[in-house]
Amino acid sequence: MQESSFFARVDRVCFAFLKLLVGVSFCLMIFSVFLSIVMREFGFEGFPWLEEASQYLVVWSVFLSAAVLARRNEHISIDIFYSQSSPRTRKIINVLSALLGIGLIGYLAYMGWGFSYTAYVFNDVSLSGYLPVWVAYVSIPVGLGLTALAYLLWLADVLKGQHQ
Amino acid sequence: MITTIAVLVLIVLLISGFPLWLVFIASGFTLLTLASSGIPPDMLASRMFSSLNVYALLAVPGFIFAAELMVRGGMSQRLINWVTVLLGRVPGGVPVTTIVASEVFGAISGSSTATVAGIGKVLYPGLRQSAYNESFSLGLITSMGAIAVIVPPSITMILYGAVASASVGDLFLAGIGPAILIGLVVTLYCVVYALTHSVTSQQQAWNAQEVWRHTREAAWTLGAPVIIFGGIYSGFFTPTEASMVLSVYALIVSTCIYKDLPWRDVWHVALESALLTGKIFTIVAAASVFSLVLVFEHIPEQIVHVLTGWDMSPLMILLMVNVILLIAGMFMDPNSAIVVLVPLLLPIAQAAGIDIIHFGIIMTVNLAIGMFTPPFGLNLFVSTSIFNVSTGKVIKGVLPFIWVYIFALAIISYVPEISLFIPNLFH
Amino acid sequence: QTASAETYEMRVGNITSNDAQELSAKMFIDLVQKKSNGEIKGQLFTGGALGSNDEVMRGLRLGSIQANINPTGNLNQFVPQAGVLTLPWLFPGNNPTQQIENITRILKGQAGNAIKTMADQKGFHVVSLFGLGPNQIFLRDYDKSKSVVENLKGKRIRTISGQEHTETVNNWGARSVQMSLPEVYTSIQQGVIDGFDLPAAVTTKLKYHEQAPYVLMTNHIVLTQYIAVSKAWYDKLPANLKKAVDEAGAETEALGTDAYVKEQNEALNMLKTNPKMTVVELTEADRKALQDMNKKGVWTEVKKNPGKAEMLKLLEADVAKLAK
Ligand code: NA
Ligand code: NA
Repeated sequence: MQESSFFARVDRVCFAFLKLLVGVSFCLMIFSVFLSIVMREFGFEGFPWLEEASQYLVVWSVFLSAAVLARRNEHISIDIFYSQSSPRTRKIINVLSALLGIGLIGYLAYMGWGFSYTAYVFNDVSLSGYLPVWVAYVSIPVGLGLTALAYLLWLADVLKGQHQ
Repeated sequence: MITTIAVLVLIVLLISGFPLWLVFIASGFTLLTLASSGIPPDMLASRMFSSLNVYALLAVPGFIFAAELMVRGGMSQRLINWVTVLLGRVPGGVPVTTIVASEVFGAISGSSTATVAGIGKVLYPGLRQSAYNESFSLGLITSMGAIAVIVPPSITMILYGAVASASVGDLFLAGIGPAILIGLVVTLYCVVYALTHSVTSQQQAWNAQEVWRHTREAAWTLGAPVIIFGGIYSGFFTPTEASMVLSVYALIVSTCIYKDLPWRDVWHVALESALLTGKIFTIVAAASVFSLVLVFEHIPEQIVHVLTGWDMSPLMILLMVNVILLIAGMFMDPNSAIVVLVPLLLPIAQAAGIDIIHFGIIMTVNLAIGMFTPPFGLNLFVSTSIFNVSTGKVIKGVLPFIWVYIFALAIISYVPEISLFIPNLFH
Repeated sequence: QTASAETYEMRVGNITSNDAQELSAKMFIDLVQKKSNGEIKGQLFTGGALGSNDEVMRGLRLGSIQANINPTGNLNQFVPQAGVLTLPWLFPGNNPTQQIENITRILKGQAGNAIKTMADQKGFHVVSLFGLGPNQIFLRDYDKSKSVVENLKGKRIRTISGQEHTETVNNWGARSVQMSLPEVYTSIQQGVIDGFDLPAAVTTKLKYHEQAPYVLMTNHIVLTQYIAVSKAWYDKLPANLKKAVDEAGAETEALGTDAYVKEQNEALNMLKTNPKMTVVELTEADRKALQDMNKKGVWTEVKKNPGKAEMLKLLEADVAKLAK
C-alpha cells in the first residue's frame, strides 16, 4: 500500500515536471522568434543561430508533449467505432495501443539514441555552424523514450481498470 | 500486394481507434518489413526529427497560441458580438463571415492548419451562438482552412514552381480566381443551408447605436488583422513571424487592456497551446515516416503508372489526375505530394496540352481538399484538438463540404480561364 | 549483367530538380553503372524526396542512402573546415566560366585532398569536388545615383546561415537575414528583406528574380559542389567496384563543371536580356572596396579558427600554384 502511493507520487511529480518543460520550451520558442523580429527591425545584427534554436525548441516541445499526451491517452484517434464499442472491446484496444506504443515508440527512441550519439561523437554542427546538433537530435531518444515509458504507465492504469 | 497489406493495416488500426500517430508508424513499419527495402529504422527516427525541424511550421503553434489567448482573453467574444450584431439577421451571415475571414487569413498565413486554428477558434463559438449545429460549424471551419493553400501566398505553389519550373508570380495570380470561386460556391451552399434548415438568429432589429457600441468594444480585436496585414505588407515581418507578433499582441490586449485574462492563467494557455501543437505535430511526424517508406518503395510511381497506362483523352487525363491527387491527398501531406507527384504527372498533363500554370492550380486545389479528407487530413486533427470533439464528428461535418469542394474543383479543372484570366491580364 | 555477380544498390539523394545539380547526379549514376558493368544499380531520388540535406547525410552514415550531391555549404555541418571554400573573393577568375573551371582545378590540390580525408573520418567518402557558380546580390530597389557600396548599406539581405556567408554581407554594412529558401519569394515581394545572395541559375530557376529586378554582378562567393558516397557502403564494395565509383566521381567533376558553366551563363544571359531586369556590373573600385571590407572582416574572423586557418593556407597555396 505504502509503496504504491509512493510510486503514484513520483509519477505525479515527474508528470508535472514534464509539463513544465513542455510549456517552457514552447514559451521560449515564441519568445525567440519575436526576439529575432525585434532585433532585425531595430537594426541589431541578429544571432545567426536564433532561427535554428526556435525550430529546435518546437521539436523539443512536441516530443516531450508526446509523453504527456500518452500518459493521459490524449493522442488523437478516430473514435467512430471505439465510441460505440463495449467496455471489454475498449479495454482490448487500449491494451493493444499501449503495447504498440511501448514497442514502436520505444524502438524509435532507441534508434534516435544511435544517431544522436553519432552526431555527438562526430561533433556535427547546425547549418549556421554555431549549435551542436545533438542538442536537438536528443529530443528524439529523450522525448520518445519518455513516451514509451508513459505508455507503460498508462498500460498499468488500463489493466488496473483505472481508465475506461 | 505489399502496399495493399500496409493500407489494410492502416485502415483497420485507424477504424479500431488506435492513436493515429501509432497507426502511421505501425503501417510504415509493416510496409518496411514486408518490402525489406533496406531502410534502417534509424532513418525513420531521424525523419521524425527532420519533418518537424522546418521553419514554416512555426506558424502553427504561433497561431494556435494567439487564438487561445484571443478566446480566453475575451477578444474573440467581442468580435463575435460585433459580427452577429452586424450580420446576425442575414441568412448565412456568420458562415459567410467565416468564409471571408478564412480567405483573408489565408492570404496572411498561407497555412491551412494555422487558418483552422486561428479563424476556427475565434469564429466557431459565433457559429454555434447563431444556431448553426455542431456538425455544420465544424465542417465549414475545417474545410475553409484549406483555402489558405489556394489564396496567395502559398508554400505549396512555391514548391510547385520550383519543381515544375513555373513562375511563382503567375501561380499566385492564377490562384486568385479559383479561391474566389470556391468562396462563392461554399457561400451558396451555406445560404441554401441556412434557408432550408431555417437557421434564424435571435438578434433584434439592426440598431446603429448597438453596432457602434460593439464596434468600439471590438476595436482592439479588429486591430489584430490591421497589425498583421500592415506588418506583412509593409515589410516588417514574414507570415510565419506574424503568428508570433499576433501572440504578443493578443497577450498584451488580453492581460493589460481588456484584463479578461489574469496573468497567472497565461501559463495555462501556453501549456494548453503546447499540448495542442504536440497532438498535431506528432501526427505530422508519424505521417512523414509513412511517406518516407512510400517514397523509398516507389509506390506513388507504381500507382501513377498503372492509372495512366491507358490511352486517354485530355478530359479523361484531367479526371484521372484529379483522382490520383485526391487519393494522394488522403495519405500524404501537400508538400511531399508535390515533390513526388509533379515529376510524374506534369509530363502527362503537358502531353495532353494542359497549361503548366493551370496544372499547378489543379494540383494545389486537389491537395487543399486533401487537407480535410480522411483518413489523413491535418485540418481534421486540428479541429479535433482545438474544439475538443471526436474525430468522428469532424469527419461527419466535412463530408458535405468535400462534395462542395469537388464541385468547385471540377469547374476549375475544366475551365482553365478561371485560373488563367488574371495572370493573362499581366502578360 | 552476369547472373552470378551480386548487384549493389546505390540510392542517390538530391534536393533540387531540373537543374545542373540533378544532371550531375544523373551523370554520376550513369558512369557508375557503366564502369561497374551494371553491378551497381543507381537510383536517383530528386527534389528532396529522401528528405533534407542533413537527413540524407545521416542516411549516408548509416549506409541506407549511398550517395548525395550538394553544395559544400552543407558539408560544413560535418567538416567545418570546408567552410573556407565559401569565403568571398577566394577563387580567381573574372567571370563565372573562369571561376567555376578554376575551382574544379584548384580542388584537385592539397586542400581538396585534406577535405576528402576529413570527410572520410566523419563517415563520408567524397568522390567529386567541382565548381558550381558564383553568387550575385539580387536587390528589390537600387539607387543609380549612388555607388554599389552605398546602395548595400543597411540593406537586409537573405543569406544562408554559416559564418562565411553571414559575415561577408555584414562586413559591407548590409545585414544578413537567415530565412528558409521557400520563404524568400514572398519576403522579398513584401519587403521583409531587401535582397538575397544566390547564384544566378538558382534564382532564375525559382523565378525569384521576378521580385528582385536589380542584379549586382559581385561574383563574390563561388560555390563548390560535392558528391559524397556512404563510407559504410563504399568500404564493403569489392576493389573493382570501389575503383568504378572513384573513377565515376572524378569524371563527373569534368562533366559537372561544363554543365554548371552552361547553366550559369544561360541564366546570366537570360537576366541580361530580360527588359525588366537591370544588371549592374561592378567597377574595379567597387569590387576593391567590397574585397577590402571582407579581408578585414570575415577573412580575419575565419583565421581565428586554427582548423580553418590551416585549410585556408593549403587553399591559398593551391590557388598560387594554379596562377603559375
Ligand atoms: Na495563402
Ligand atoms: Na487527406
